[in-house]
Amino acid sequence: MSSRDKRAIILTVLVCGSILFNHYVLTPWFSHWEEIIEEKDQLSKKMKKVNLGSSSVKAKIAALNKKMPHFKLPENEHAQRHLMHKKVSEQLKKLRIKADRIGFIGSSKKDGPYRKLNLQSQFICPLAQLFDLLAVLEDNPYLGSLEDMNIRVDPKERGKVWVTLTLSTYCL
Amino acid sequence: MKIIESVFHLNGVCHRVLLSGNAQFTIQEDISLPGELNSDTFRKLREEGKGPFGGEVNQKEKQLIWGFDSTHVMTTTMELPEQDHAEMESIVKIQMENILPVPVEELAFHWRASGPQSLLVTIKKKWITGQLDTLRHYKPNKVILNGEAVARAYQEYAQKPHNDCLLLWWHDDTIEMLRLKKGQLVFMRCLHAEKEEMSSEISREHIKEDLLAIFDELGLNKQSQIIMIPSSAEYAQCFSMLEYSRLELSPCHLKKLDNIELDHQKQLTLLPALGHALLTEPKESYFNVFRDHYTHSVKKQFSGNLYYPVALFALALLCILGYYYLEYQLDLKKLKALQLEPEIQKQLDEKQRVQNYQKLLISERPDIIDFIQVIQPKGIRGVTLTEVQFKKGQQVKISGTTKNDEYYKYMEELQKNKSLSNITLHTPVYNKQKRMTSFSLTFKYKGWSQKAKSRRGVL
Repeated sequence: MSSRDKRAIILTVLVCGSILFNHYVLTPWFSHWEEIIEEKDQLSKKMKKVNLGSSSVKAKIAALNKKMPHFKLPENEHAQRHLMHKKVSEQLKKLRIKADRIGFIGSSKKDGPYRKLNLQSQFICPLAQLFDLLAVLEDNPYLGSLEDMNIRVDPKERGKVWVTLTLSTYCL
Repeated sequence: MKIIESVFHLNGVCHRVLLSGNAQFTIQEDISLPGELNSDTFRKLREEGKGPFGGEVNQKEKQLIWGFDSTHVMTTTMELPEQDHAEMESIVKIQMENILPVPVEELAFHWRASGPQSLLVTIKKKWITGQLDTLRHYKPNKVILNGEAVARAYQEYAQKPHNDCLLLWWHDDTIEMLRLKKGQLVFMRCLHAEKEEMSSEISREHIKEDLLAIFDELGLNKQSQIIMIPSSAEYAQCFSMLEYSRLELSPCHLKKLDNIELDHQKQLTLLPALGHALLTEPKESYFNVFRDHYTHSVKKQFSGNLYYPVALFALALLCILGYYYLEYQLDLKKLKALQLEPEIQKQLDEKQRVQNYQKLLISERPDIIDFIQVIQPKGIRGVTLTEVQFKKGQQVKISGTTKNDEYYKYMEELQKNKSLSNITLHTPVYNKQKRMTSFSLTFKYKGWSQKAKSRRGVL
């Protein structure tokens, strides 16, 4: 075998070896590496959001707590209905407002992780008491939001208003 | 040290002589085979080599010299002025047309310009073409005329070399006459003289007459040095027979060569090889009649050692792979560091859930206190609100009464507030009995009057 033939054989073996090495070693390795980088990036983003040591995260949490100081995470529907009803009744009682009617009027479909329950109450009270009620509603930790409010002046009794309030709460 | 591989054909025998040295050469090996000098014989000669430089001589310093027989050439002495090469060639061609009986186009030629006794060597192109296949196969560095090599070797290796003499080199039934003047070859001619004929006195006389005629032509006299160089013992005998014809010839005595054991006659036989070696020196010039047909080309090869570039490339490749592997390991380590314990992960998820719920509440809860403050008819007397309807996803509706047209002022006041938009006044109705005007307004409050899905991102 001449040296030229030997060179040709060595070159062929090298080229074939390189192709096989690339196919069976390099390509799978690089794709595995890509997966690792992707997973790492996702986790990094997540960690940035919840990193309590970070001043920006601290500021965000402080801002959220300032805007929404009183709340409790939703429970299951049964428990949430009970807690919400009890708390609203307490708040009305505290303000000496006698509700003509208080009860849940329906629920919405699940949007995201939670479902919305609507509690409606009807009562007559002086306007000042209504304002007090609206102010203390924010302290209700089960309150989702105020969905509907209808205020009508009582034609018979001056200074009093008929109020229909629909409040929502979230449940799991 | 140079290695010279000289190949030539002499007296029906092919010689391959290996010489080594620099300016002064010593014969290292001589291999000979009978037959014509062709590629087959040359291959066999190489296979026969057994000495230190024998076989395939692979040394890079090696030069292969292919000697060719002077009997194929025709030489002429002419007067050539010393001009540059380009002009000289045309001058030579013109002179050749006048002197030679063969058309110039059929001849390959070379010359040495040395005034009135310039020597021109010509050879038929047809003969050269016949040699080209072998030459291209073995790629000799130089193709040299054997006669010229003998003349050059005589000057270097003769005990007392004469600068002005005539060398009679007898080989292949030919007496080759090589005229040296001032140490330079100025004349070459071949005279056919078969050794078998030397036994006949008549033949000897004929040869003698021919030789004398040439001596006369060359202007030689009794004092002139005529040196005998027999190429073999037989031709040495032939020379001695010529001496019987009272020709005054001097024998050629060579210096003792510092090489393998060779008798004097053997040294004379290998004189062309020594001449070939001498003519490879850079300062030497020779008749290169093959110049237009064959040029030794050296394949451009990487002169340096391949080990270092290959090693460097491999090292660079390893470094790159190492770098990638290190990066991969670092990423893997970072990923492992980010992958927390399940309990901590759960806590973090819970915190995330709390934050998301807070955000949801903020986005879903209207500031109802602010709303009531906005709709209050501040500083406008006589306007009483009787009904307020606020529902998320719908326009706010306000009803009221006024004793005059103050509702316009109230509306203008509302219009100043940036939280409200699309304020529409519905036809006010005047009640004559109560002397009051009832009015109603609808408007949008911030983004709360939009549907839930479209509200997201507005607030």
